[in-house]
Amino acid sequence: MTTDATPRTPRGQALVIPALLGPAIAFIVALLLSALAIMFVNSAYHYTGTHVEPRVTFDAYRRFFTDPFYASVMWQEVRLAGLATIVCLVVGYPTAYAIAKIRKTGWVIAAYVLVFSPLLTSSIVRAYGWFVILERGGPVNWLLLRLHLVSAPVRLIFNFTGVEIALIHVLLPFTVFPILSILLRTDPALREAAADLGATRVQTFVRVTWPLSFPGLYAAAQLTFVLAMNAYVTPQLLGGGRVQVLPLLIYQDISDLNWPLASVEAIALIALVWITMLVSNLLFRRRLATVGERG
Amino acid sequence: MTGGRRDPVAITLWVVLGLVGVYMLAPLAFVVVDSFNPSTYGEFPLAGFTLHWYTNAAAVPEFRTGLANSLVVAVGATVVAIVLGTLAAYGLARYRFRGREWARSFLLLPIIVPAIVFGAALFLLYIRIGLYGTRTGLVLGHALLGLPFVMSIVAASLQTLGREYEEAAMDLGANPFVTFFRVTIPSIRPGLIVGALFAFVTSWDQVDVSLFLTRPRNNTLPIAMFNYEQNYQDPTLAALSTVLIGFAVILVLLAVSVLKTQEYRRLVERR
Repeated sequence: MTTDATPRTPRGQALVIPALLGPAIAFIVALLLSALAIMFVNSAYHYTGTHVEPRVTFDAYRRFFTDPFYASVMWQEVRLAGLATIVCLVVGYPTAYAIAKIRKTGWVIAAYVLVFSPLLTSSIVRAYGWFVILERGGPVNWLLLRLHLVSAPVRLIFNFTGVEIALIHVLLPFTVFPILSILLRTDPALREAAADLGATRVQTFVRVTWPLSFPGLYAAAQLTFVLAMNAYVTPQLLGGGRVQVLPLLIYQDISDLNWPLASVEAIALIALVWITMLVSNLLFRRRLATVGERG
Repeated sequence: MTGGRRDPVAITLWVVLGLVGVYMLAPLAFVVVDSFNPSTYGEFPLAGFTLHWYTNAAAVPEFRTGLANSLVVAVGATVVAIVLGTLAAYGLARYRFRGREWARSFLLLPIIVPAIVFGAALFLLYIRIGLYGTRTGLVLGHALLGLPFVMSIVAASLQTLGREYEEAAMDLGANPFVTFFRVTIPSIRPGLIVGALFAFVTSWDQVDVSLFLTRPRNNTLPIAMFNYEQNYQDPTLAALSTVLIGFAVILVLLAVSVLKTQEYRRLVERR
């Protein structure tokens, strides 16, 4: 591979680079940055109860930070995303490890299809599938009743449990992929060397495989958490209005024409995610740095 | 897997993989089963077999207009994302300049901002410039979401390709444009196809951004389905979803047949 071959500087490069990168960058500035700027301005405006008045009052911020409702929504969202992340890591690591260990090409492809094919259907289809499985007359309740584990159908949708089950399903492929990617990149010679030097399989795993795969695990955790925090469809369709998270409030307030409040909620969502990332990066900085040196 | 037939670690891993497989496929499998369910309320086990929900799904006008709208928007968004993304990828992969890393991070911005936030912000922008409820607005919004994927995938293909062939073409007298279209583009075709598939699927399955930009009579298919699910919840949606799952299977087969690249071998083949 010639990833970073000697850079040639053709004549007229000063014009070529803006011509190549300019359109994409201009597109992002025109659409994304300007939209975010307008949202930022809106967050400071005044909402009369029926419409927005372009008067800077910061009312929406005041309401967001004083009404305990918003703190409870954020707490519920962090719990939902945190639990989903933990379950995805606990299930996703052995899954990735198993896929990395399969030898036969046919089985590898089968495993990929199992884990990653749900990504090709929209979140609506997947949420609907969980609705079918978990509803009162669905197969799960049928099985529980047949086995006499319950005497009446259990409520599995329109609550925290239902949202969590479906959310983990949506997120698991995103957890497995970064872990799998790093497990496949790890040089098998390192494991063989450990075994040759007399390490047991447990020792090889604890001292070689696990520390080398830690950056992948960490990346998977961050990705899973961020996607869980930003999820809209799953909490909406399986929560049935009983599980409130910021993305649902954002859509609700935009529909109610309370754009300042929706804007503040959007800013809060971004801030919440970024702060979590920052704190976790600080907490794990030393751990990740030592892995980098060893790897 | 390594180890003998009775190796407990190997057995445990197979069991985990099997359970995860069941969990991942369960919702899709039950959607397919439910699409033939004669009961309106999705009672299990099935009391019979019907194709009623398929004819029902085909008759819902929102699904028809949604399908047409989604196809047009997805194709438009893919074209915009491929053109802008390939140009940017070429600039990043073939030139060294100041601010290159900065430019790369900037181009990834659309996937860092939560889609739901982008949707709300775009709504506030579109209301001002008259793009709210238009197809153009949807195409542009979806193209922005696909852009980082196309850029990363095409840049990766360009880097594995190397620049020897391009240099050879230039040395033989081809100008940069001829070289780009006759040498570079054909050589990175797999990357372009995968990038296009990503951009297409991103738009095709998009909900979070589309929610804010569509008017009731101008919905995309996922939004029409989303509204239907909130109002009716009969197996009509299962029938439509089954058709869409079939469509996704075809896309997977297409992608697998195209993906003969190094990345694919690294993922699938074992030493």
